[in-house]
Amino acid sequence: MKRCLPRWLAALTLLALLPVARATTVIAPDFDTMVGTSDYIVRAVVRSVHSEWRPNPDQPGHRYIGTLVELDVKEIIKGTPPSPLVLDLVGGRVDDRELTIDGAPKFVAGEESILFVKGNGRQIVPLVGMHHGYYPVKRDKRTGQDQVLRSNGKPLYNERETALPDSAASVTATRDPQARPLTATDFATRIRKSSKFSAREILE
Amino acid sequence: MKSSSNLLRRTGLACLGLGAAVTALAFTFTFNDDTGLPIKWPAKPIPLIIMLGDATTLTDGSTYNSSARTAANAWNAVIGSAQIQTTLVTGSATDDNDRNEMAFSTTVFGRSFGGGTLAVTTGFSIGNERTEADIIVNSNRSWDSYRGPLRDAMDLQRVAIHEMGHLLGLDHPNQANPAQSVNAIMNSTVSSVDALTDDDIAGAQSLYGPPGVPPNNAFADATVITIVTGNSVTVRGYNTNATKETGEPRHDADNAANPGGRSVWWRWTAPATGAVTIDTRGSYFDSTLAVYTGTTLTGLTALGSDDDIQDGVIQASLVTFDATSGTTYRIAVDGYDPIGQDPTDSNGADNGGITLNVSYNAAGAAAPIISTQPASVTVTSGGNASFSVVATGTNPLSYQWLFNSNPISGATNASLNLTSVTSAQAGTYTVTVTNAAGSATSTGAILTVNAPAPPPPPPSSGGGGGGGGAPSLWFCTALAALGLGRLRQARR
Repeated sequence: MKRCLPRWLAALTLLALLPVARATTVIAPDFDTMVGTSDYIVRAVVRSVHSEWRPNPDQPGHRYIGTLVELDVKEIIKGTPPSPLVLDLVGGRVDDRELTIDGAPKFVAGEESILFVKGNGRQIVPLVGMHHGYYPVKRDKRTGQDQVLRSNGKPLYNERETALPDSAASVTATRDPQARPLTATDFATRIRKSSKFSAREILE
Repeated sequence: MKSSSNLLRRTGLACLGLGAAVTALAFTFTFNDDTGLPIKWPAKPIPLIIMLGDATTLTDGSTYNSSARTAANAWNAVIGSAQIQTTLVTGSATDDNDRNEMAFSTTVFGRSFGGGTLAVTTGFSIGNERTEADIIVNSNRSWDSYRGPLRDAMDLQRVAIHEMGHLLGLDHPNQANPAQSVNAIMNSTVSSVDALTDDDIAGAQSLYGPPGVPPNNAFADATVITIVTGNSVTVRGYNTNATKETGEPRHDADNAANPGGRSVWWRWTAPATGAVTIDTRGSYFDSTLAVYTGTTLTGLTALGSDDDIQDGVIQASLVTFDATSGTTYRIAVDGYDPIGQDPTDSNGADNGGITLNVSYNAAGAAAPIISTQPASVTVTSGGNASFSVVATGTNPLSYQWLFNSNPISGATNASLNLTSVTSAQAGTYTVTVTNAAGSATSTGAILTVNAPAPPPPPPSSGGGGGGGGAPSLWFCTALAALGLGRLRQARR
């Protein structure tokens, strides 16, 4: 009992910090749900982005702009993604015409990110919770270390912050001032831990 | 070049937010990556066909259609150059048909929404101009219409207000840089916010202006610019619903194909002789700028005019000239009108929120030089800290202190005193010193805030002591529930 209570307190304190995180367009998933529902999770660099006109299956005779994002997978964190891994999204730009899906991340060749992939080719955006499943990895100029960002550019300090809406700053205000942003390795480790926990729960 | 223009635009947004002092604005837009300008509708009605249905009476007495129409009217009440013109019909939405539609569906372009997605706005655009937008509401979810706290069924009206904000060109507010928390229905979270907030309105008016004609529409009603401190000033305005007066010159002297047509006026009297730069960086449309001397519209002498700083890429405008002390200069800001290039374009001159930056370097004045830089300070939390700077240069000198590159409201003296310091104030402090000849920014001084020493241990007996704050009922209930769960587990 003495050993468990601090963990309870820590978990409850963290929960108390999190506001109800439901996006107007997307209900933000919590971290364990993101890990559990992802088809696969990868750390990858965008090799190429190609947008094209496609027929609209909902309305014959009409069309839309879709985008193929080819990825160089640097690390598989969960699942078995196909090789090569090519994300298939709605939206993009062909010549001077652009189709925007508000809330969807924009992929740029050369950029690295950790991606929670789900429903590739079947969902509008094949990520868990649209932009909630997209975590750019950038090198911190001061420390030289890579750090994981949220899709809004804000550093990710704790994996539980993934459940927050992009606009929330409540955890930042109460965060330990000594806390450091997660590195890609830190984040991958915590994803694997959650993934193993989820698997054990299912087996039980 | 793309990224630099975007950076320019985003910097402009940040500056606007900082200018608002205590509560910074955070609104942002869907941008054209080529020009860095927001993608928006031309100045005319935006037809929206609402196909949600009238069969069900909702909690607030509305139907799905009328609830969505109320959402459109909320935006219409605060914007000037475009209005969402709703039509209620029965049917299903079609993308890429040059009609803006709002409907329920389980799919978008044959794809599922994905878990948790409530609604999606899809927007086609060409260049800076939006050409079609559709709002698809996820029919797999349960919907109602009500005000106040959220219930199990989602409130269509607040989601419709949010999605129509996307339709207009607004994106989710940027609250990452600088880190802040802004109350807005355009936030990516649904909450008890069920109506437009100041941030939402400021964002929409930056694109479409407020209702009515700008107060400086006429040459005779030009707004006076005054540089209060230093050698520069930024003023804001709109040219939405502005008109061109009889006898008014074209403000893009180098391009006869650009007639403009939505001009507004400022006037500025030079306090000293020197070089002047005026630009429209940070404006939300493709502007045209001209500077004149003269007291009547038909008797103006042009000193310079410009359309784009970089043709088709940086669509802000810039004019430089040598000013004479005591002379009043007339500044016209208009929008680019593409009719000369495309005779079928009937949208008129571009328009929206204007940011006008005026700076001058007085001849013979000495720019500030910082002779003593502010020094770093370490204090214990709860203590006081102060920074100071010494600068030389032609008086008057003005000061602005910054914390982590963000201006501190009211910190405009040579010294900065901080009392009862907390860990949130730890970081880098700089100061910018400005006069009529230029400005200088100090090196960064670091404020380190150490945690206070731990309190002495409590006495071993006697005296109850004050104790901490009572834990919340929620916290206690959660602890009790977890304890009971453990107890049951142990019994099993």
